Amino acid sequence: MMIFNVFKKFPRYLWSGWGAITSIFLFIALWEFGYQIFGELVLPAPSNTFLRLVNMLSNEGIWQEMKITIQRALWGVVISVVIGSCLGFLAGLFITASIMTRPLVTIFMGMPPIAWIVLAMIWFGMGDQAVIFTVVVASFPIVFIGALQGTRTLENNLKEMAESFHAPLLMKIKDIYFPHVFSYVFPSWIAALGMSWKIVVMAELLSSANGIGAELAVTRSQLDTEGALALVLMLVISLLFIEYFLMEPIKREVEQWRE
Amino acid sequence: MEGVKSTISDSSAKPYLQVTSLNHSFGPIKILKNIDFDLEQGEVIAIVGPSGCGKTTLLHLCAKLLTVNDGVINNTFNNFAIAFQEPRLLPWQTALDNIAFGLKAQNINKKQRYQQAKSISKIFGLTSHDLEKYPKDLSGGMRQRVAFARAMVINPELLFLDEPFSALDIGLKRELQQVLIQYVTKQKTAILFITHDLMEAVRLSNKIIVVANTPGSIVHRFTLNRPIENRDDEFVYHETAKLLAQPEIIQTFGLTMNLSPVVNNI
Repeated sequence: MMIFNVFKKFPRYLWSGWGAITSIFLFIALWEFGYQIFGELVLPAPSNTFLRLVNMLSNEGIWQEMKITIQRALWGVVISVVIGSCLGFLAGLFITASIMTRPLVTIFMGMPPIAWIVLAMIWFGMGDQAVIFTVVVASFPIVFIGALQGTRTLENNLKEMAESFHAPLLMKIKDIYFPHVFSYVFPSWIAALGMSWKIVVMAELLSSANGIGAELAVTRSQLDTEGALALVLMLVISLLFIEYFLMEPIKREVEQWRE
Repeated sequence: MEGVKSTISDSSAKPYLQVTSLNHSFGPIKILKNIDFDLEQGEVIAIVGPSGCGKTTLLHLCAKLLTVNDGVINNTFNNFAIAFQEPRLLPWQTALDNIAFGLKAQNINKKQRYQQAKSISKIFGLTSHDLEKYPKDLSGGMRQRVAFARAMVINPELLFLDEPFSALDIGLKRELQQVLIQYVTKQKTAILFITHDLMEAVRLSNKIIVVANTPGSIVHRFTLNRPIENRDDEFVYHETAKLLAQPEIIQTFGLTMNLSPVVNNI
């Protein structure tokens, strides 16, 4: 039913995207302006960059790199979503646990991902594990905090109401606890996904011989600004695609009760 | 269930709520002291007192949301419902699902509970369009109507009201009180009504019990004989004025200009 609704509302949702497209075109115009002032080496022309992107995409190899990067990012997200949601939920159930984990999460959040990459390279060597580890470490606290807050803010009022109607435990979980916790956890999943996209490239750039991040490292060593920008575009477009064509419609459907 | 009920209440067929020498404390703080009263079928009792006198605790004890430690509460009503001060609707469910909440808790199937919820919502002035809305899209008054419909749809023999009108403006308050009184009189529902508003108590109840502060104990009882549906403004003003002249009430609500009762309470 929910999936059906997501599809049913999709055309109207797409139509609402004109505003976003306008602002993106304005941004590209600004970019063109920058190109005309600073020149090819600093800021290549948008048209050339897009041509380069198309060129790159017509090459078999880049799809392989793309696949590797996306796989790493998704593995990282899935692991941090599963662990973060479960631990956050458990910590939220006990006051002591939530007080104790608070400073730890602050430390985790405060620690720059770049430092984790160095540690991950030492611990796991170059390759998949180091990248995935960094993604997990960077996005885990976001999910953890979401689940923790969701559990801690369960309202006593609604629990009391449910008890006054003698609602059975299963119904309380299904109709009260789950929707409430989910309303906090779901946005944190989306935030974690966005985070992972950025971290994965950074981690690959430093600690891996393949993936989009490694390609980016190559363009840097060759001073290939156009190639670098084309890769960045590829990442941004894929993230926009996931965010606006997958996550946002789902979010709208599950959160239509929100203010 | 039926058989058990008949053996217990053979002597008096009417169900009742009986509170006998009830005391309650939260830790070292005494909240309620020596509370006694009886509530019978079709009767409305108002518990009136200043904020913080333990009215809500008393209601929670009667509704089994708190455990009785000292004293006896005998409840032979088959079922009860509570209308809280705030509507307490589930924000992620539509008005219709919110109304049907109590029916769902009783394992009634979806079709049947929607049917019952729809028919009661008309009595409380909700349109079928309102029923599809989420609580965020309803006004405060509408939300409270949904909450009342949710309480009444399970056909409670006993209804607890925890100041459910206090957040509404005067017009809405009157209208909703009218709807509720009509419905409740027809169904012969017993009501335990908690309020800090004397005039509201005079308008809606058969008996008024005044509870004073720290610890909450009964200082005055008052019976109103005119049937609730026949009370006009004049009657309400007159009776309220009479009540307000009672020394216990002046004392309880700190109505004197003399500061001494306030100082004593501190």
